[in-house]
Formats: sequence, structure tokens, C-alpha cells
Amino acid sequence: MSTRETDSTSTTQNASTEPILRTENVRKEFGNLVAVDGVSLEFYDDEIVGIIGPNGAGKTTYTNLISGALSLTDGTIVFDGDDISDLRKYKRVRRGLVRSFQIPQIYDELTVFENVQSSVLSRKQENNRLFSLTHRDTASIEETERLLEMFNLESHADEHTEHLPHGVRKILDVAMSFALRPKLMVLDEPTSGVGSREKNAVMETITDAAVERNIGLIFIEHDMELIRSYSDRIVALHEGRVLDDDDPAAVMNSEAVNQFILEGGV
Amino acid sequence: MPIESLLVNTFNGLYFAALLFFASVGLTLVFGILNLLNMAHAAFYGLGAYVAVWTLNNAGDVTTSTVVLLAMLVLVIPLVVFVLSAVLDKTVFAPLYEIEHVYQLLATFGVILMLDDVIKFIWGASPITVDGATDPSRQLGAIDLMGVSVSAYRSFVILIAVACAVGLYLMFVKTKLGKISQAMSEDYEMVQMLGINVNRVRVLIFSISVAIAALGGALFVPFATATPAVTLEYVLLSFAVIVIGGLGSLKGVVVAALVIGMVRSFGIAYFPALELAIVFGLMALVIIFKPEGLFGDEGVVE
Amino acid sequence: MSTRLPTFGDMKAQELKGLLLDKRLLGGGVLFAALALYPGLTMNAYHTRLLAWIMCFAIAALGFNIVLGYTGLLSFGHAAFFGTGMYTVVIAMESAGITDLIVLLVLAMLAAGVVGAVIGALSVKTHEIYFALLTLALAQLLYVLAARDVGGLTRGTDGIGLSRPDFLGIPISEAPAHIYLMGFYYHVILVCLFATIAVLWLVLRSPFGLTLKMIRENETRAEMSGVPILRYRLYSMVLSAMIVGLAGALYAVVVGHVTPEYLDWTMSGEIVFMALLGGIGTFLGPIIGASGFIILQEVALGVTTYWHFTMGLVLFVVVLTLREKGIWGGAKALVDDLNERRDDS
Ligand SMILES: Nc1ncnc2c1ncn2[C@@H]1O[C@H](COP(=O)(O)OP(=O)(O)OP(=O)(O)O)[C@@H](O)[C@H]1O
Ligand SMILES: [Mg+2]
Repeated sequence: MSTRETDSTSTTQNASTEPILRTENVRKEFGNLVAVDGVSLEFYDDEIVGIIGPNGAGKTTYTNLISGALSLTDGTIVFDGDDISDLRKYKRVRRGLVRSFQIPQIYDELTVFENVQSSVLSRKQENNRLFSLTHRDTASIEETERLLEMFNLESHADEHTEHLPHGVRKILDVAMSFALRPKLMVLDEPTSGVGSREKNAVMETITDAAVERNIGLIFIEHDMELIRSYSDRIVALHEGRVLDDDDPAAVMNSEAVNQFILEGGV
Repeated sequence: MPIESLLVNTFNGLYFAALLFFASVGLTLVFGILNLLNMAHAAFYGLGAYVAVWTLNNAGDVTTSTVVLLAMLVLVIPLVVFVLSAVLDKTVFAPLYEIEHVYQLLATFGVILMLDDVIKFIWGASPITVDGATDPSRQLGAIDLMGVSVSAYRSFVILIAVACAVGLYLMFVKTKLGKISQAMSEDYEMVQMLGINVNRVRVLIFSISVAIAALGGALFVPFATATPAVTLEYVLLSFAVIVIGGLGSLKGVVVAALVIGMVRSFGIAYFPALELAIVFGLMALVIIFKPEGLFGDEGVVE
Repeated sequence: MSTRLPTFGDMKAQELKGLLLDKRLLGGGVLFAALALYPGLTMNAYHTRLLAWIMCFAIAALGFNIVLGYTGLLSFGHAAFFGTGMYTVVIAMESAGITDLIVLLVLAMLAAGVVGAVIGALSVKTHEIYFALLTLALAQLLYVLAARDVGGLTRGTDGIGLSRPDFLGIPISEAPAHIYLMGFYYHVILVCLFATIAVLWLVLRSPFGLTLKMIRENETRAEMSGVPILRYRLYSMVLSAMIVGLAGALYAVVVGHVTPEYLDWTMSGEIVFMALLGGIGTFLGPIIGASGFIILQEVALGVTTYWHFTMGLVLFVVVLTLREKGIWGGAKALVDDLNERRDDS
């Protein structure tokens, strides 16, 4: 099993290129609770960053701020050179900032094929085509077929998604996000609910696809083994703040991280 | 003069508010506590109206005593409907608790259609009215209120509505049934897991709610005719009330009933063409700008 | 952001041939021919009228189902669009002196589309029962305004009687009533119904139709795929309103008298009822539902004065047992089930 550690030599040398995503002093309050408390981070489009932190650290809230599902209390988000702090959700997606979900968000009454094809058509912004049949639209059909192949979903293509096993639903969710041709993908616990034996296979599929397509990846994960194996860099969050941001070995050895996260029983 | 008309309109507004309160309070309770959106709720208001006309007109053979007649409206009819709705809860309505709101709405629309014909089957399609001899509103006549002459019967209806609202409030804060109901409105499964017989609570809350609607219809009828249109009118008005007040809130129903009661009363007096338009306009505005209603994000009695 | 032109050009001749031999298309053609010939062959004015009535409501139910079945929004205010269609025809004839049927139908669709855009714009942000209650309130507002004749256009609850429109300058309105209906107007409705079916069949299988289903199935995902969901909900309301408005306009001439009743919430309820009865989860369900509803009503009315009870009971049972499948979807499922069992043995 190849892990990313071995080919992660390109990580730290990117200081010269622009980050694909930069958050400056990002803050979110829910009433009196400060869920995200001034987080400033940079992400590049050729790296895989793992985010760790105990329950309630603000990881999901942070990704919700990035995707626009929640509005900022304060701070700025810059994506691909533009300030997107106030941009609507769907517009962020169209610019290439895409997220997947902790609980797979797929269309249950549609087939696996239609699920992926719908994402392809949405990326091409062809939702408003009225008088053409989707099942005759060769361009999107071919692209959908390629994606299904890439994620080993061909055998499920014509099944309705309701009865798919959880692992397959997860993969489908990721495949749909890939169909959007993102520049950066944020994955909230991509392996949660997946059997421990399948976890590596899922991560493998995702990271291979990301590398092949040149997509930056941010993923939230509680499984330290996975984090260590697949991240080029790790960000540790605690009580809404950045506790550490470094290469995996350094973060895992950091005293603060050990005290607040690793020992706290994740 | 203007002061006098102000008083009269306010009094009439209170009377409308009382009727709206009776028609809609159960709708919001059943939704808030039992999570059932019962479009047919106000049909029981219509049913109460018919039963009341029938009762009063037949009572004439036995007695014309005002006290007995009022007791029939306020006690006997609600009690009978209480028993009837307990049966309905176990039969017609039982399967509805399991389905989504939109389907509840549609299935209970079917119940309205059925009840409509049940009423027509028993009492015919033409409007029916209370005979003068057994009409308590005539018997009671007028009383003087701050120099204005108002109907004593209407004052009585307003008092009953106030008593009913206070009674419900006390039930929720003082009795075990009320406390369990409040807990159910917050977390139904939790209450179920505690081993409480939710079905018994359900049948009680449902029957009380429906009985209050019937009480409203019964009290309404000495002043008006019972027609099939009453049901349709009050279905809409009761939805307006509970939406404006906030689904599931007792306080909301009281306030919204007062608002709509006053809008109707002053509307009829000053802009008769627009009176109902204001009601539906208000309902739309509330959903657009404050979908949880005036008090919907609070509990049943907060 | 212009809508791309139809891509029929891409279709190869061979595919076109295949399409023509399609069983469904053949069935549709036979049905069309049978319906077109029916009045002439039977000369039965009662049946013709009933069929005209059914076809109008089939169009309405099909249009309504765009919103409920495809976009997943329960509107309880579609009477607003039906009634707007009716009033547009009668007011345009009475006040503006327009008598050409085509112009009237187009006007009615546009007017209903505008009302759909307004009601849609106000309500697409709300969800589930709030959407139902808001569309109900807004439509009821329109009803009250028409019933009280607030604009001075509707003549209140008495309504407005309507004369018969002409067609392409032919003074066909001077023909006797039954000739007008059986020889002309019935066929206009028939053509409109089949045109609606064809257009919707295409549109709902297009990327646009798929987008509506995406929104119905999972709004979060649709938005996170870059779909402006509110805008598409609005599009579906406007499209739906225009088709229901067309149905109303066609129906106005059939009944010959327009009253506020057609704007009332019970009318909305009937449209919902029809779609649900046939099955909102299927394309043809609403047509079956409209036919079922009207035939049931006619039969029940013939047997008993208490047809409301029958209808209520049917609605109640259909909602509880078949849900979104309706009778059409239920029958389909049954056939599939039987086939499966036969294959097994
Ligand atoms: N919509 C909300 N309203 C109020 N508080 C919220 C909301 N969303 C999150 N919170 C609170 O913000 C804090 C951070 O939550 P968040 O979900 O971001 O944590 P997390 O790091 O993703 O945790 P987990 O590992 O459990 O997924 C928690 O205390 C949570 O209760
Ligand atoms: Mg989380």
C-alpha cells in the first residue's frame, strides 16, 4: 500500500506560488459560543492537508464557513486570488471550491449514473437546457462514464442509490464532487461510517484521483493512522483556534497537540 | 361618537378573537405536541355549530331556561364531541400520525370533504338557524359597558374564551398531562423512551383540542347561521391564526386571534372590501419575514 | 446565460426512425386519433363536454405536477394560476375586445406566468408546509380581491359571462353551441393537451428537468453542485403557472362563466387531489388522476348527492396507501410485481 508520505517531497517548497485558499482571521460566533476563533491558514492546490481536533473543536464549522453554508462573523476568505467572503454558496462551487459531506448527500431517487451526470451537467452550467434529452447528451454521458470508472462505480451505474452500501454512497458523494472539477476539495470525515478495512481503499481512491487531477485536498479526520498516512501537512484545531500547523511528524510530536488532542481520546 | 364606535368595534373584535381562539387553539396544540397538521380541525367548529342549532331547537320542547341552554352549549356539546373525537383519534386519525406533514394536509383535506357530507346528510344543505325562543343571545339581551350597549351573550362568549385560555395555561404548567405534553412537543421520542404511554396523552390532547373547536362553533351559532361554508371559512382563518402566532404556541394563538379579530372588526367597519385581504396579506407577510411566527420558536406556553 | 437552442439537429435520422416506432409514441398517436374522432363518430354532446372538461384539468394537473412531482414543492395556491387564466380570457374579451382564441390563450399564459413569478418569488425561500401555507395565503388574497371586486374588473362573486372566441379571423363563434364545441373547440383542447404532453415530456427529460429533480431529492447537494436552487424553483413555478393558466383559459370557454370560485383554495385542493390521485411520481399520473377525479365525480353525483364523501374517502385512502405513486404508479408497480413473480416461477 503506497502512502503519501513517500511522495510528499513537494510540499514545503511552494512558498513562491500563490495559495489557492487563504483564510484571514476567520471567526464564527453562535450566540455566546465562539466556534471558530480567528483562524488564519493557507492551502495550496498541490497538497493534501489533514485537519484534526477533538469533538467540538470547530472543524465542521470552519469548513461550513469556507463553503458558505455559514456566514462569517468576522474575517476574510480569499480563493484563487479573489475575496469570496460574501459570495453565495453555488458561486463558490462554480469557481472550483467544492466540499463533500460527513453524511453522504446524494439523490436517492436517481440512479448512480444520473447522480454523477447531474453533477457533470451542473459544472457545465447546462441546467437551463430545456429541449435536449439528458440520456442522449453524449458529451456528459462520456464524462460520466469516465468518472464512474475512476471511482469503480460502473457496476452500480443503473442502481438507485437508496440501497447502496454506506461505503459506496461515500465514494459516490466524492465522485459527484470530483465531477465538478474543483481546484480545491474540502472533505468532512470522508471515511466516517466506513468499515475499518475499507477506510484505506476509500482514501486511496480519493487521493489518487486528486493527484491525477491536480486538485488540492483538505480533509477532516479523527483516525490518526489515516491522517498520518495521507496528509502532506496537518492542521490541529482546538477550541476554535489553530493549535499547530506543520508537517505530520512535527504535529504528531508537538506537546500541545499531544496534550489536547491525542490524549484527549479522539 | 368616535369613542363610542371605537369601543363597539373593540368589543366586536374581542368577540371575533374569542371565536378564532376556539377554532384554532386545538389546531396549534395538535401540531405542536402531536406533530399532526390537521386541516380538518376547523371542520369540528362547523360540526359544533350544527350540533348546537339542533340541540337548542330540540331543547325548546323541554325547557327555555337560559342557564340550561348555556350549559348545553358550554358543557354538554364539548363533552359529546370529546368522546366522539377520542373514537376518531383511534380510528380515522391514527394512521395520520405516521406520515409526512404534506400528506397529513392532503389526507385531512379528504376528511373535510367527508365531514361536509356527513353534515349535509344529517342536517341538509341549506343553512339552519336557532329558533328565537331558545336563542340565549336574545334571552340575555344587552348590557351597558362604559356607556355603550353591547350584547350580554357576546360578553359571555369572551369570558368563556378567557377562561378557556387560562385553563389551558394552567393545565400545561400545573398538571402532569400538561408537563408531559410540553415535553412531547420538545422531544417526542424521548418521552416515549421514558415509558410514558404517549397514546393516552395523544388521545387526551387530540380530544380536548377538538372539543374546544366544537365549543367555539356551538357558541358562535346563536348569533349566526350554520352553513357548510362555515367550515371552509374557519379552516382558512384558523390557519391564518396559527401561522401568525407561530405553530405550536398557546400565547401565539391568543395574540394572533386578537390581531385578526381586531383587523376583522375594524376592517368591516372602515374598509369592508379589504377586511379579509388584510388577514391573508398579514399571514403571507408573517411567513415571508418571520416564518416561525410571532411566538413559534418558543415552547407551548412560554 | 441564454438557453441553448433545441438540439434536435444532433439527432441522426436513424434515431428519429426509432423514435417514431417507439411504443409510447404509437400509443399516443392512436389515442389522439381516437379522441379526435370521438365527437364526430358518436355525436354525443354530453361525452364531448365531459372529455373537454377532463382534458382541461389534465393539462392543469400536468402543469401542477411540475412543482409537486418534479421540484418537490406542495403548492396549495395553484387556483391562482387557473383563475388568472380564466379571468384573463374573459376580461380581455370584455374590456379589450380581443376575440381571437390564439391571442387569448397566449395572453392567459403570460398573465398566469406573471402571477406565478410573483407568488413564486415570494415563496421559493420557504419549505414544506410553509410553502404550502404561503402559496395558500397569497392565492387566497387574490381570491378575496376578485370576490370583493377590488380592482373593479371582476364584478365580484357574480362573475362574468363570456362569449365564444373566434379563430384566426374565422367567425366560428357564430356556429351553434354544440357544433362550436364538438367541431372546433374540443379539438383545440385536444391539441393543447397533446402539445403540453410533448413539451413537458421533453423538458422534464432535459438537463432542466434533471435539475428540478436534483432540487427535490437533495437541496443541499444541488446547491453544492453549483445550482442556484431558488432561481430554479422560481422557473418551475413560472412554467407550472403558465401551463395551469392555459388550462384555466381553455376551461373558461367550456363553462362560459367565470367566478371567483375558481380562485378559491378548494380549487387548489382539487388540482392537488387530481395529481395525487393519479400519482405525482409518474409523468402520466396526473392525466389519469384528472380523468379519475372527474369521472368519479360524475358517477358519484349520478348515484348520490353525497359525492363529497366519496371523493374525500378516495383521497384519504389514496394518500394513506399509495402516497406519491397514486393509482397509475400503483398499477405500474403491480404489473412489475406480477411480471417478476412470473419470471421467478
Ligand atoms: N449551528 C450551530 N448553532 C450553535 N452552535 C453550533 C452550531 N454548529 C456548531 N455549533 C457549536 O460549535 C462548536 C464547534 O462545532 P463543530 O461542529 O464545528 O465541531 P467539530 O470540530 O466539527 O466536531 P466533531 O469532531 O464532533 O465533528 C460546538 O460547540 C458546537 O456545539
Ligand atoms: Mg464535525
